[in-house]
Amino acid sequence: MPYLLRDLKAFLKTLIKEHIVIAPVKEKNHYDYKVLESEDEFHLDYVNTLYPPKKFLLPYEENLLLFSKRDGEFSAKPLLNKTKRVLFGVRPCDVHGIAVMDRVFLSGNYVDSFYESRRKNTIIIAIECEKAGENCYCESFGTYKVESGYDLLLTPVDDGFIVRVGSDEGKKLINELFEETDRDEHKYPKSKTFKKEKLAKMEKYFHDELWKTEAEKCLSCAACTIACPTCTCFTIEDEVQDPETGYRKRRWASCQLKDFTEVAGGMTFRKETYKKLRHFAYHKLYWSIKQYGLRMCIGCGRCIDTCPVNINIFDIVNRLGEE
Amino acid sequence: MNPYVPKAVEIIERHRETDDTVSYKIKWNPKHKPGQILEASYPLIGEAPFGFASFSEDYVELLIRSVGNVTNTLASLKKGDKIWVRGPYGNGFPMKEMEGNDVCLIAGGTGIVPVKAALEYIIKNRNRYGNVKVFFGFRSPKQLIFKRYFKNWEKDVELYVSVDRGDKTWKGHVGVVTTMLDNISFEPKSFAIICGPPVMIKFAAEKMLNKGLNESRIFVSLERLMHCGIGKCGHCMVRNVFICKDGPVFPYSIAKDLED
Ligand SMILES: Cc1cc2nc3c(=O)[nH]c(=O)nc-3n(C[C@H](O)[C@H](O)[C@H](O)COP(=O)(O)OP(=O)(O)OC[C@H]3O[C@@H](n4cnc5c(N)ncnc54)[C@H](O)[C@@H]3O)c2cc1C
Ligand code: SF4
Ligand code: SF4
Ligand code: FES
Repeated sequence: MPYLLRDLKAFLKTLIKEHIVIAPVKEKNHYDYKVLESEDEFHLDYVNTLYPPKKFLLPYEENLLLFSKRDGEFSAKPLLNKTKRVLFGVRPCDVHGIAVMDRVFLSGNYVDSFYESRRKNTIIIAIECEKAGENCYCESFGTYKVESGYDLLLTPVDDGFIVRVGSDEGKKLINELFEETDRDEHKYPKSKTFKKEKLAKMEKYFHDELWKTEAEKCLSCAACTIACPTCTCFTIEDEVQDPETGYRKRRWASCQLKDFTEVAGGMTFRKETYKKLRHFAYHKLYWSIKQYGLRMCIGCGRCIDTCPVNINIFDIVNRLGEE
Repeated sequence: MNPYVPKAVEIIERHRETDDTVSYKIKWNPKHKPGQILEASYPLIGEAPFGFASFSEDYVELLIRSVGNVTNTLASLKKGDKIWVRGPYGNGFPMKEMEGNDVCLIAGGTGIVPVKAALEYIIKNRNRYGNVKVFFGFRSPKQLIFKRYFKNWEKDVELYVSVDRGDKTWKGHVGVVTTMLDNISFEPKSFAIICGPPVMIKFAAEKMLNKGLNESRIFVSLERLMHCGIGKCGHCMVRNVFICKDGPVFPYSIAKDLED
């Protein structure tokens, strides 16, 4: 049974009292996820944040192991982050984005313990969108809608929010501010769309000249992969604190940068800009289906928002196969 | 089990192989297959992927070529020191599938690592395989790796060794490894394993195809920059394939189409 929540501020206040709450907060020209000090910092006037919430599950830089020497021998201690946090105001597409991260890190023969620990301790409170952003393509991907992956899902309505519970953790957050209701409203705004039917034929377009011509302006700056909620590649390195202690750490990496594939003798795979751009687009839109049974791209448009030269992968897909 | 936590194991033997390579025997016996890989590291220095250079239930051999920060440190360890390892990862060679057939092993330089493991597996199970020919190519006589094993291997298999450039002491074949294949014919149903630099793999595979081998019976081991070894970090991706997890061994029928 859904609930009606009339006073969002009051609810946020109770949340902040008991949890670390991370929500979209206005910066100069955009919104970004920040730890809320007070419920007054949150305003529902954002479409979405410039950067996704991925950094709270996969920090830009993260210590994995602590090495320390005792009696002449090193030991390695895994550093698992178990801080309980609430991600508040997450848009439906980003709930899908987190589901992609879950697939990458939690499925297969190996579970990524560091991601798992953060993820298990993160509560997700999603809020449906009233309008789509300039570069949103959620309609093409169906990602404006979520059926799982959240603890609570809020739908804005005239007299407050319809709240759906997605987990036991979510259930625990229901307090006297919520009243049971049988209203079943959703907000599914219209967004831009692209010729999605072409995605099935991506194999055929691999050698399309468009990848080369479009990549002529690409700066290989990696702004797109930094902003992408499902770009999760990383590099592992050791860092020395003193001769007896140090960390094995990981940090975000990008397939758009040369050092991503560089091996002995200065040999770099996928060196050409168009190959890197194509790799990004194919991974997000096509290869991920074979790898994970889902499409990594959630259509959030952040790669378009952040690209300094206005490259739009959906616009490229639209034009693939045309003379 | 946290897959990123390595285990410290003791180095029980150390051999200098060439100017820039050393080999270790380490006290570690994970269940593994020839062609699989591992991550070896040293605290505060870093981690790098390596192949299993042996096939034994008692120990693991590693070959380390110094090319940079991590490998320089790993190559400077002594007998009795600890080295940190995790794995095995990847698929390995289809040793079972090759049973009952002739096998041709071709390696260039440090590509000898996984081939040596496959060879030791074959020698352990010698009666399960037909004629076995092994071709090793090195840059010069000074670059020969695992030379001390050659005599023993020759008891069980046909071993051919060449160097790109010979010297006064060298009495063997001179020329790139693939030139040794020229006058040799192979049963078309044979299997081949090829490891080495990308160009060498391509030449050797094409040559074996010309000799009538099926492209799905030629197995190559591919190398890419790797960090995690377990399909998470993305560095080793080529198209939809993770070299670390789906490979590093691929039939040539697939490897030839792995275009970036
Ligand atoms: C599947 C696989 C199996 C391997 N097996 C062996 C082995 O058995 N023995 C062995 O000596 N080496 C092996 N290598 C290569 C070894 O992993 C690299 O030489 C090592 O990672 C370099 O690390 P470094 O920190 O010493 O060098 P860095 O300081 O990181 O770099 C030095 C140079 O080495 C290059 N390099 C970094 N990583 C690699 C890499 N993965 N492959 C090739 N060059 C790289 C760098 O780009 C740079 O040019 C293998 C690599 C792979 C992917
Ligand atoms: S597509 Fe745009 S954001 Fe991405 S690397 Fe190229 S220039 Fe940078
Ligand atoms: S590829 Fe672009 S639109 Fe798709 S999820 Fe990544 S940033 Fe969003
Ligand atoms: S090495 Fe990390 S994904 Fe293959």
